[in-house]
Amino acid sequence: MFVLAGVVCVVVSSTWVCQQIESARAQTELEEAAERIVQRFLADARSASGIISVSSLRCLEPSGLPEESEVVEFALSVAQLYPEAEWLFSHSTSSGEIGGSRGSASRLFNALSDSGTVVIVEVRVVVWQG
Amino acid sequence: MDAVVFFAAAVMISSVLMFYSSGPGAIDGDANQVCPDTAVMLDVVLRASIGHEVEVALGVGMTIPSTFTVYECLAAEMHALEGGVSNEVFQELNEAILAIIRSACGHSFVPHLLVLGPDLRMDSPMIAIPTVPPASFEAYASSCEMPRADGSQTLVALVLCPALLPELA
Repeated sequence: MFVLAGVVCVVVSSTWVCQQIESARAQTELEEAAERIVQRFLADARSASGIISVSSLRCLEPSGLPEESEVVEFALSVAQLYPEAEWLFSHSTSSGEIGGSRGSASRLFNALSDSGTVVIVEVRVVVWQG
Repeated sequence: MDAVVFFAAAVMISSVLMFYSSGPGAIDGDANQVCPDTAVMLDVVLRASIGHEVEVALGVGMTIPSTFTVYECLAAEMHALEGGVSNEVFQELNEAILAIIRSACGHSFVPHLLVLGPDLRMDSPMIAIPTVPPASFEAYASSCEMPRADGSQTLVALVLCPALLPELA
């Protein structure tokens, strides 16, 4: 009886630990996917002239956004933080709800406003399994 | 007797496995999720424009244009302070800079921007916006060098202290 209980104990804990490791791995992959989307977004935004302008961020086309793996859905938003808080752009690859496991990334960057000042803008990305 | 020993060993192994897999930082993907990227934040803040004109009462009255970056403002302020101008003259400018930093770091952190003199002493900086940060067990910081016209270097440091919950403040 003690042997059986001991075996069950080890099997249950091992299974639980494996699930924890798998969950952490999936979480890490989602975080990395979010970081990749942010990096590609910034690279694409800079590629045209090397300078990101607020007006170009307002006129972003969803088709111009980076594509991630088919199994990953993502939502991207761009907001100006200073001098005024202002929503510039948002897009989601899915109209459904955000799934259970998700990763996120954000990045601050400077952009040139219409008045010639340099403003602070933030891009935020949330990814989840499609 | 052997069975009891086996059971005890199995329980111990299971406990150790579960302890290490659920402990902080072990298999926890969120362990450093709240760490702000202070280097990027400092860079973005220093390159940002003040955004509106700021009056500086330097005797003759001086207006800092809205296109001036935080970096240029700090350099001008340093130059004036070294010339013997009082810190209070730049209070409005420092408040404008603080508003920029706060917009970048959000409400989770209390920001402190320091410009250190040639001695690099954190406790007596040339400029502290708004104040010198308190001694804290947990703070995030980043710094960059600020070249001066005379060839010397000063250090600009951004320190973020976690904000207290309103009920604890």
